[in-house]
Amino acid sequence: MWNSHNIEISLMRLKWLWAVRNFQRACNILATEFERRYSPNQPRVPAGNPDGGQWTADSGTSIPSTLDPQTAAPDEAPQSLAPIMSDANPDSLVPGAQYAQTEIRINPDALTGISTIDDTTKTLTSMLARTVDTVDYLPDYTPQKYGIVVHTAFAGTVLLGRLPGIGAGDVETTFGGDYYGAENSVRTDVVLRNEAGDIIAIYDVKTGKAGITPARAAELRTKTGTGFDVPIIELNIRRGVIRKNSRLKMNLMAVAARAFAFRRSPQWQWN
Amino acid sequence: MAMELNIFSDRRLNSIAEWQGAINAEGFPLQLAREADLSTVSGFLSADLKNKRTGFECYQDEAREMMESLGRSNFDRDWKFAFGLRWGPDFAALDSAWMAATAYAAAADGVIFDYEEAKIFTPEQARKLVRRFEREQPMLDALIKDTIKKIAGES
Repeated sequence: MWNSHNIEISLMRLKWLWAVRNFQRACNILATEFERRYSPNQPRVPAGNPDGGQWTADSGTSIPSTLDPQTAAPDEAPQSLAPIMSDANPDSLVPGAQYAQTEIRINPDALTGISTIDDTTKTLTSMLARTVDTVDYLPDYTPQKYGIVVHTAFAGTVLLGRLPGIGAGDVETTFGGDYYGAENSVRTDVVLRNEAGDIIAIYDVKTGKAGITPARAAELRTKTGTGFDVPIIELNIRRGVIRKNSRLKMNLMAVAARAFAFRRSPQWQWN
Repeated sequence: MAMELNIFSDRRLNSIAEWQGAINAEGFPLQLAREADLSTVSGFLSADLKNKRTGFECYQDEAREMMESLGRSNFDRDWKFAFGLRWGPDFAALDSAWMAATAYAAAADGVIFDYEEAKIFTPEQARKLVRRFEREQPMLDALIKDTIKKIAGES
């Protein structure tokens, strides 16, 4: 017997199935892309070339960066991801940006005044918004499982984004141990590095109503060996983007000095 | 990518063995790393969930500081101890962290603060959530499997 409740439940289930399908498709594409792009056996453009260090599809063609804050607006999506970031047309792989429907507000205090860091913050925020668009929130998802799905999809998106200063090893990075699973090791979501390889910002994604506590921020600093000159930036899909422990005493000159060392250089980005 | 919870209680569990005993009493298929020292743990603690290797980070936190950070209005009383769990984007890690937290809170007469919903779970409420996770997962797995078949069939 069909009644409005049954219809509502059925529609909800269909919508959920659709979301799962989109997510699985996203994962499959991400996995394939990641394997293709970052295979250690894949050749790179030799140093000295303008595209030196970048992965190549064949002996002469470089794979262009899909999202580059130096040349692209922060809310431009990686071309390869754009189609699956839209609910509007999930089946067709049509190139071109689909702007995120989700808005994640960047708190002015989250910006450091250092363009290298702030550009990355804006780009990651845009990527997170698109990720949220990909994964519909449905009432019959527990918030906890929804969080796992969003986190997983975002990690893949960042890996494929190939942002300057964020290499393949800077997403889900283990500190305090040789591998995640080593006793007392910790894992960061995303770290941004300067040309010298020093961490200049730490990003932590939150899908819940509560954010990073000072205690956890302190743990991250301890395990990563960073001080207050390295901002910990919370990317929270509900509360917006927030800088943790943004002390007034924070030595902005120290941040500037670290960021000054940052330059686009494919060799250090992916080597 | 980090998700978190905190257990608040007036007494601490003294050892991994005591915590494991509480997990066993709940009937959860979770085995914590036996060699870890609960009093000094500060980071990853490995565990096996249904014979699959997983784990989560653990921290002995300062209760008052955590309650202030998480919002006093979320708590109807003070607690002496806070124990934090943190994990990455992995369903098994989520399940194991909540099983471990439920058992810890039940054994220590405490509660769980969930960062996703920013609310307190009693051990009984946490048990229900864990059961819901368990109920959801096979459905999720089946749907994903079915979807993969469909995608494979389409391509």
